[in-house]
Amino acid sequence: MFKGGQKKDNALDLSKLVDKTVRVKLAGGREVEGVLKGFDQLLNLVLDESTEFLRDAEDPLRVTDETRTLGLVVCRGTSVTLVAPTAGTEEIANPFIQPEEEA
Amino acid sequence: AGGGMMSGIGGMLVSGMAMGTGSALGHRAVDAVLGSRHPEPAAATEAAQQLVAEKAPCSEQAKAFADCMSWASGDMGACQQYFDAMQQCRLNRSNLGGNPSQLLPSELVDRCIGSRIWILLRGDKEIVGTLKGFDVYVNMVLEDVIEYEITPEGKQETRLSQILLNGNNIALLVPGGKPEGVV
Repeated sequence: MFKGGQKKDNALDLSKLVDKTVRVKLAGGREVEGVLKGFDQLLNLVLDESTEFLRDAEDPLRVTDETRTLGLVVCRGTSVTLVAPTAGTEEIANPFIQPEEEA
Repeated sequence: AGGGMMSGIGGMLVSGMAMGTGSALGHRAVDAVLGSRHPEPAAATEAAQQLVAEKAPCSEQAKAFADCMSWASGDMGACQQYFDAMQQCRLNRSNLGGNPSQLLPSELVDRCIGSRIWILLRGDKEIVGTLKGFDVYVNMVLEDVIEYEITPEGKQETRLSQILLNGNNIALLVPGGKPEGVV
């Protein structure tokens, strides 16, 4: 039976994103944005001209607009939780906020 | 990079280096056709012939497929097994490192052996040191290490002469170390 591709293909074909700017979220809350230069099957990534978005001092789960430049980096695939192109991504108002109610 | 190159990461790096540069554009077009499970027969034959002409990886299997298609007057059904063999060969290569014209993460880390590297761990800890080597799990041996910790009091530094850093919690690796003046 002709199987064609890999036994377990990646849901996202990263070769389409090479040379594009991507946002990468990592386990532990770090977020990095950079130009995807390379990758492997284990989801290790090479990002160029990357910047890290720094987290809130009070709330480590929130990411601020403050950044620091990292440059050429390798993201460990074991820590990568999300890879998304920045093109076509926009920030929207939080749809989940509900008015505070007295208990 | 001496002995560090061949050991630890097995054949991965060797194959990566051997793949060379090739024709980046040519391979993208070929990949598009041959990346699909049921490519159009004429396009598939043409793509295979291009692999042969470029002496690209898997050109032996590509030639077998192209020859079969020419013999079978473009009947994919007759040549399916050759197509499968070619795909399997390319698959084996791509499992090792994606498109040959891109930069493999393991290659970049390997090139860093001997120089300073800045490692950001999953939490708020960072390590800067001279990379002596690493293994398939990206456990790392580092020398002249500075460990940065963000505590409630502020940034704390510790110096260590040589460490084995467990790769479990590594999130980012920055070749070249930490630039002066970065937070």
